[in-house]
Amino acid sequence: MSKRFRTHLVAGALAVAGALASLSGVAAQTVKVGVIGQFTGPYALAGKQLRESIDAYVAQYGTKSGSQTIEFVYKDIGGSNPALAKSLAEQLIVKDGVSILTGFFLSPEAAAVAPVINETKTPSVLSVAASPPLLKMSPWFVRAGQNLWQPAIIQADFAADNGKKRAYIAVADYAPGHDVQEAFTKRFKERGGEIVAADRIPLNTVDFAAFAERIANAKPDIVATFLPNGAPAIGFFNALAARGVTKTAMIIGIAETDDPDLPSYNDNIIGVYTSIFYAGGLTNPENVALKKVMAEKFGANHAIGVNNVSPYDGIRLIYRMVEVQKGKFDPDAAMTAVKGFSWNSPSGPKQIDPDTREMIHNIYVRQVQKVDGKLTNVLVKTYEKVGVPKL
Amino acid sequence: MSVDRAFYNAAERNRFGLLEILFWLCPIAAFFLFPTSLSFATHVLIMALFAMSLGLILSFAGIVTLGHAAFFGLGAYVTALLSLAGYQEPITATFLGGAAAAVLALVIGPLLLRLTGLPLMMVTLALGAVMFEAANKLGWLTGGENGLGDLRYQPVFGIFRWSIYGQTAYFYTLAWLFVLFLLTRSLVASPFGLALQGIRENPLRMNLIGAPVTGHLVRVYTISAFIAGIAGALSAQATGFVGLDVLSVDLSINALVMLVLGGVGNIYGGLVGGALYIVLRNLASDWNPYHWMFVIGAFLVVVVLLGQNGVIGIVERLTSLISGQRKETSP
Repeated sequence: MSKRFRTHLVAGALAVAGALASLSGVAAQTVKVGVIGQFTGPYALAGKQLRESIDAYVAQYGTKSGSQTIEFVYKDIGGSNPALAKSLAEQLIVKDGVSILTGFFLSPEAAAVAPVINETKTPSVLSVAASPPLLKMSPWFVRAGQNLWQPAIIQADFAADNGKKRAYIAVADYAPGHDVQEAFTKRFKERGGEIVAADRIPLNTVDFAAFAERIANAKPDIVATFLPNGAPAIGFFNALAARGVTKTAMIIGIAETDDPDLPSYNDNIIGVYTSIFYAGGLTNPENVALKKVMAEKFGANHAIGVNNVSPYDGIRLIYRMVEVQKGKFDPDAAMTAVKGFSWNSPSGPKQIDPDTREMIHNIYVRQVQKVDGKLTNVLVKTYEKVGVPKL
Repeated sequence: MSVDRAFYNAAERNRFGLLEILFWLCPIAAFFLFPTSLSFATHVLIMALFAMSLGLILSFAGIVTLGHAAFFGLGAYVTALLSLAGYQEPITATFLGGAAAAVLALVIGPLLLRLTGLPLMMVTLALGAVMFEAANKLGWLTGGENGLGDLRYQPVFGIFRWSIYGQTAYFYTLAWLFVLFLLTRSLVASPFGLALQGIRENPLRMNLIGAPVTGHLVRVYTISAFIAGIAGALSAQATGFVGLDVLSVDLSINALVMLVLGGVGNIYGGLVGGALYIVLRNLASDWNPYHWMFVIGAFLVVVVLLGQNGVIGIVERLTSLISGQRKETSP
């Protein structure tokens, strides 16, 4: 009987909530944005950065875009769970009535959501997910971050530009690692280099000594790598330094030495290069403004990571989608508005490729150096307006 | 463990009690009350079915396993692969998913079920881990970390189309859940069910009176695996996606948590616990996407401390307190 009473209560509350929602919908034009993030679990740092970026953007530009107000609805995945991502996307669209989705840290999440947004025509901004084939799965996807081929190709270009000939590839044994291996191999061979060996390192590896030994024995002049941030990357670079590889070869990674991770490293990391779409030291006005607002909101020691920057660009795209709306949300108009759209972001000039919906942006090669006694990513070379090549 | 008469009462009587009928009206009511949450409600039903399958072996045969997700996952992958291979008739696809899980249980059961207690838990845990890693490595077959997406199925009976609004998936799942529940209910009440309870209480004595202990256990293990496989198959059909999480150790452990939450030893334990756990998790993570696990943890602690038999145990004790005497109660 108490159950029946409770269902009555719930039904009543729902009716009231529904009436309120429809009222507010009439009073002010609101566009709801569903955010599917990793707010708990092993990837919670990325979820935190996503949230920070949204808060920072709202602090800078408010919640209004054009004539409409933007409201964010947050949902947590809490680990690698594509099926849950799909179910959350359905809930957000059907129940919460969101018009745009964003978030998507891991690529499988986005892949699972693709059929849903194809059916409901929901523009979705990939804030971090970097798997190359994603955008082919749905015409409603647009990429705010990088396509993993971009940094991998710049790894190869940078090595070739510096006269390196013998490459050793060491990547984590999961889909993103395989993508990097594929793109690097192709480009480096095109540039006349040789791949002496390629290792796929299991994700749960804790002792990298054996891999460092193999690499040292192969005597490469460049080691291209891509490992998850945190403990694996730290262990790997320490092992390389212990075996002396850091001295004898150029080592180039992708996101391993991200600014927020840098304090966890010791001096073994000095000299390592990375190739990615952001460098904390950029002095463009957008980056200066972003650093200022982040410092105000999250403390002076807050370091901006790449997983802050691409979600921030994602929010820029969402504001652009909403800006062009007149009255009822029109998904086609939203997509048209971002195709070919270009703007200045904290990470430099950006443009969405009108055909592929990939990001055309600068890729920066950075080197870890000790500046004023502190480990710092120093910008070494900028590759401008890198699009996504056909492999 | 002493045998409490109120323990498996619901199945002991052959007639449906009033409370049981009310219980089964709940999912029907949910359809009308929450028309926009049907895909979530379907997920609730699937997890309830999975927890029920675990309850069948844990509560009634005393088989403690930490690898039940192996069957859930196998069912899901088989149904998904059938769809990708072009076989998209939904009902037989679901059945085949369950059948594949049952075959696996039939093969490994005779080896596994010679063990009991801690060794059994360790081996089933290892089995689950092996299945997970195998699916991860066989990327060409399972899609590895990327999973198998965009699964399509024909309309049920050629009429009811699958869509993201989830009406079809909801009633389809509910129908399977109800049929399999009836099967479980009659199984537990049968002489076979009684023999299982005998094995749970004292396997040695059952051996001495000439009961085929391992045979009985393999049989119930296979039936339970079949139900778990069906749950997995339904999840593949309802979400149109299968990822590695269907084989994860987390899922096996969650099923155990659901069972403890609902009440071990009652056929409604898995159903109540599964539904409660998923709904609570969803409400809590909506309430606060960062600290929702705290709510779940606190709730579990309270339920385990208060009720010797989960939520059902608490309800039973409350009703007996109110009526002032211990009498048979339904959940």
